[in-house]
Amino acid sequence: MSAPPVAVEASSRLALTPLEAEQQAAFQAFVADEITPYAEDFEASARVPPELCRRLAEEGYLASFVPEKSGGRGLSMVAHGLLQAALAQGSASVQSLSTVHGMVALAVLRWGSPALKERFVTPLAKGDVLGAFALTEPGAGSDVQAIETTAQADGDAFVITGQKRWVSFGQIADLFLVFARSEEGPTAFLVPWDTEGLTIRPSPLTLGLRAAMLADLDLQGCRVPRENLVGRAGFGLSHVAASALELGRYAVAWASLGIAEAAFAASVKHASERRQRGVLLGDHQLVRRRLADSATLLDATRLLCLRAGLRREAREPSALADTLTAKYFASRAARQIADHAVQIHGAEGLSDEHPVQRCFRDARVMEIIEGSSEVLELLIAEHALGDHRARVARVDGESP
Amino acid sequence: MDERQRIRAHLTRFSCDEAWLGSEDLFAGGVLDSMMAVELVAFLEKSFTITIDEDDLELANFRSVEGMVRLVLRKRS
Repeated sequence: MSAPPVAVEASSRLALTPLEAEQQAAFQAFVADEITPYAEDFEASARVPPELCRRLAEEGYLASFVPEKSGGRGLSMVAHGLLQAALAQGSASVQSLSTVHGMVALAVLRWGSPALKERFVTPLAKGDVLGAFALTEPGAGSDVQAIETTAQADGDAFVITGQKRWVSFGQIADLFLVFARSEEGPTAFLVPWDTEGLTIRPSPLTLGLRAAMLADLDLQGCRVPRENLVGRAGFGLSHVAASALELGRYAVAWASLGIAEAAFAASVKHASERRQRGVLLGDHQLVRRRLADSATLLDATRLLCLRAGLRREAREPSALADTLTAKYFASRAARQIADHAVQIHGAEGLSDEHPVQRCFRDARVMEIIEGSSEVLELLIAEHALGDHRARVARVDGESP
Repeated sequence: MDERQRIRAHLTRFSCDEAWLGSEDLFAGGVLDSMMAVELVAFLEKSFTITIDEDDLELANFRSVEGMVRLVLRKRS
């Protein structure tokens, strides 16, 4: 007896389309010309130069998913992911600009009032305005419900008071998406950088993403007009932040893939060229084990990222769980692959003149930002349990 | 299945408790976390071919099965 046919989802293909492959080649060419040669300089100076920000904006790489009618590139979700991977292959710091700016653009595009969209979506899509995402506080990291920043209604405005930490590209952002507690609950606001009462200071340098120009914000009685509210009051975390973080996780998953690709390429090259006692490194069995582990993790990461992208494009509700899985796996895989790369390179891999040590440091950051691995474990398990509960309920419902 | 049945079937992902499924506030009691709201939005949009936007962000539209049914019917009319 033959097995019943297995339904094949349209969103389960294993390879890129010719168009996606063409887009990927264009992204990689841009990165090879304009980012990779300078990546170590960005790290050393702890900044991304404004000329590069402008180039990214000109290419429409900062919020590439925004529809063309709104001034964006209108890239598919898979192409947007490929772009993140390509950028991170050159510099994860540069890529993180695209992550956070994209999160702000998405929040306005998805939940902004018509007037707010009219004012901000096109400038964000074109990169004329740089956005930054201000959620984390000294006392609120993974537990976003713990935010203490307040927004007091006052006539046609809100008065915001509180502190924000680790705001990526906060040092150069024009517009902050700030989350604060109003009378109705957590609420999201667009706060321009030159708002009276807002002080912006560089955050301490971090292990990785050292050129991400992190900033801490001190908001003391910042008066923000009511029309700058994103979504309705009370829906700031549940809808606005959650949607933005969801896209952020997707970007970080692909960025992790990019870091892993860079580290693995370096490992294979080094193992093919470097000799120890007259034998190529790649001919040593223990080195081969590291290469095999890396190649397998890399393949699985590519497939998980592609699946998440295809399901997002199809607007499948399961895309949320797929994104969680992709980010969780990809960030861990990137760290493991970068760790192999450092080991294969030996002392050279520890040098700050070699990109693999940067890959290693940046990969470690990916396991923490936009949802730490621990938070993702809780959410992924909840989805698995939910699938089971729904299956049991369906069977019970069908029983006589 | 009609709208009500489909929404109830989806909510069994979170709990199969009949009292909870019929409650006036699904977010009370901690079964449904506010951070799961985005999943609910994705489900409603995909299942009923609607787009939920800023205007629809009213608690009444999401906190009960009946509220979601009314939202879907209004968006589809």
